[in-house]
Amino acid sequence: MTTAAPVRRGQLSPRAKRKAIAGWIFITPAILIYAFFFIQPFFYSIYYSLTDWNGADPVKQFVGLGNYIKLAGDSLLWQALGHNLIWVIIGTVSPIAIGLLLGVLIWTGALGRVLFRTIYFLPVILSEVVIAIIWNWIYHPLFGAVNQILRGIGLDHLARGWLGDPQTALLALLMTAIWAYYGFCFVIIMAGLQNVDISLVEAATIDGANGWQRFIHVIVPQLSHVLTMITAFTLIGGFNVFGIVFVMTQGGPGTATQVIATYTYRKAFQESQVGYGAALSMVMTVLSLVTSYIFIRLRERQEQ
Amino acid sequence: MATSLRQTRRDFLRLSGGLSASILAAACVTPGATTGTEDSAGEPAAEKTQILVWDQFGEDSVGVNEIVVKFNESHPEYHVTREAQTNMRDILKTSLDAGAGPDVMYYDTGPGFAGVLARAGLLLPLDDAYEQYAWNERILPIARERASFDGVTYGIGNELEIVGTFYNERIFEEQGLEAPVTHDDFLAVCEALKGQDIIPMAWGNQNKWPAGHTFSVFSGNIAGKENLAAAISGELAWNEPDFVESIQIPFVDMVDAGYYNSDINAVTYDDSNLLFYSGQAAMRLTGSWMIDGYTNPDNITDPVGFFFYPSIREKVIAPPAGLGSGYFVGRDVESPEGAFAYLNFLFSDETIGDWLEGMAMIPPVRLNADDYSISDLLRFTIIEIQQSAESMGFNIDVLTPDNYNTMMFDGFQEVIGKVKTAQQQADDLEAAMQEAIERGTVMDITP
Repeated sequence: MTTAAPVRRGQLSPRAKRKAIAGWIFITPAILIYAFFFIQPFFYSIYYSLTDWNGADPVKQFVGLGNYIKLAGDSLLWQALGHNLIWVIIGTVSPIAIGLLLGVLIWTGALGRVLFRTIYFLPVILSEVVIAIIWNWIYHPLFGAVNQILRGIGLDHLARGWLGDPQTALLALLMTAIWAYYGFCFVIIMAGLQNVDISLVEAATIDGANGWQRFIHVIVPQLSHVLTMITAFTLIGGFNVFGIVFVMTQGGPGTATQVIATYTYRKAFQESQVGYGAALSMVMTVLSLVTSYIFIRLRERQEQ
Repeated sequence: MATSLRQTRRDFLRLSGGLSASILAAACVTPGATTGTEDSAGEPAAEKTQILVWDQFGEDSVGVNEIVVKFNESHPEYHVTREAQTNMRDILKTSLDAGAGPDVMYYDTGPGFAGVLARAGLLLPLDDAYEQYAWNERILPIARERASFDGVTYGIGNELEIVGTFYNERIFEEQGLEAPVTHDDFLAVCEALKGQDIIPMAWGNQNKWPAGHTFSVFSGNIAGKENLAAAISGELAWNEPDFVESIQIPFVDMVDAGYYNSDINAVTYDDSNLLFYSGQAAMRLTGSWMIDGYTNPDNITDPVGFFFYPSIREKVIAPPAGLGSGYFVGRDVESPEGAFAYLNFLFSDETIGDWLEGMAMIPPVRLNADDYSISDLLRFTIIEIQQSAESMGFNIDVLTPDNYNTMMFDGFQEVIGKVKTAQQQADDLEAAMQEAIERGTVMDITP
């Protein structure tokens, strides 16, 4: 009988060491890629935000917090921020609510579950640009489907250039974004529903809870982790939204759909104010981080 | 079993390491290496001096590709590789700054574009090349002026353009209308067309920039060439009454009168052309770059005529004229001689026909329009540019700083959408110009 050599506390056995080394070998490329493509640009962005630089000049004039002070008085930033807030609120609540509703409906035993899941998920696999082009056609003022339908049912007075009217452009974009995203929420919620304890639902039914009460008090609490994750993702997405807005309206008409990301692009690339654009991107990052952090902390507290 | 698994893992690690090393090795190869490449004639190009050209003509632009093929065949010591870029404004600065940009680039000539690159020292001065190749004798002065910054020439401007009114001759004839000679005549024509349920003017401004051309037309005709040049140079305020009126007439009065299609801000530039092609609209206020489209029977079978937007209150007209973009040479070009040779070839007798006949673009050289097989519309444009060059106005957005342009484009959409007034937009334009003056990005075009 052989006895294994005793391993001192804090020391790894040779086998564990080998495992650890293998682990590091596997994780190192990912860390390097992350550091190179995310950490490094992030710190560069912080540096650029403290400079007055046009993106080409070899000299980056250090202006300290000058760009941030200028941001405070920039009315376009506040307008863009307002649009982002509308986006975050409507663009977060709507797809999650639709996804949750559809998810629960299908989970309760609707026929053709796989078919519905596929149909609802289809928009998610399309690129933002493709989605933007499709909806540009749908909203087209001359021959778009929306106006054709309105005219077809005698509501000609409602037909308009949806993306060219400052009153409707942002909401039209939001509709597009909701359509593009609710499928993702639906699939994640469907996955979460697989872990819902059905005996609790049955117990609630026996106790006389109606459908709505079972949904709110039994099912939704069991989905809290899933809903937290989706909400955090959607919140971050709401602050970073760019592709759909840029392709469909370029922030227009005028600045009616300008959001922080498109405004950042405009400043950094169209107006060659990379320093100011970097400061804007920092605002966007901080907003995403703080909002997501607060939301997750609130959820954790609720759970405790 | 465990052994087998360990071997598999080790093999996997070995394979991963090998792959990583291969990728690293591939990444270390000089990007400009030419081993194994072939020129257009299928001959090995490795020993030739490589010239990388970025332009914005589109991958399948027959005319430009033809010029490249001709150059490569007639200059065996060089090999031009052309890459069409759709997002040049986003990538060019970074690429040049990183030393990974093109040798020759076709880029916007304005102070906010090539001007930024020139001032950052990313472009090669071409004054010596102008002397060496005697370009001054061939190239029109405007093509050099527009590609010069702070007294140094960095490029050759290309694509001479004018902006005016294209009209459907069949519709005009059927309605008993003639090309107007005064602004009041023009309004009468619009009124007559509107009365027949024909859209007088097709206009799509979803892309924002078309409004800049409209403003160029009206400010040239109302404020006059000298005042417009002074305003572009930051020497005259943009909220002077003439400029306010130049906004009020096309963006407010004519919109309210129903002289354009509906939903201007939601219709794209291309869609407004479709309205014109289909005969739903009788006129288009746009640039000569559309001549190719307006003379193509696949697009429109009706004959298309052209007139400059007429005089307003008997003032002398100053229709916008200018250059589209220009060719520039990067600071880090490996072979300046090769780049100069390519530029020289681009505007030589061998290629003028490619520009005119192949692309309906007017190169910046002295030429006789009758020597080429081109449409009457293009011939008319060439003759107008040659005869009236001195009295022509400006395409404002090509000459103004980029922050001014974004204010112009966003603001005109807002004026059309009744979000702001003409006076407010004029004040905002002036504020943008003052900001540009502070930043030192204004181009002085006064004589």
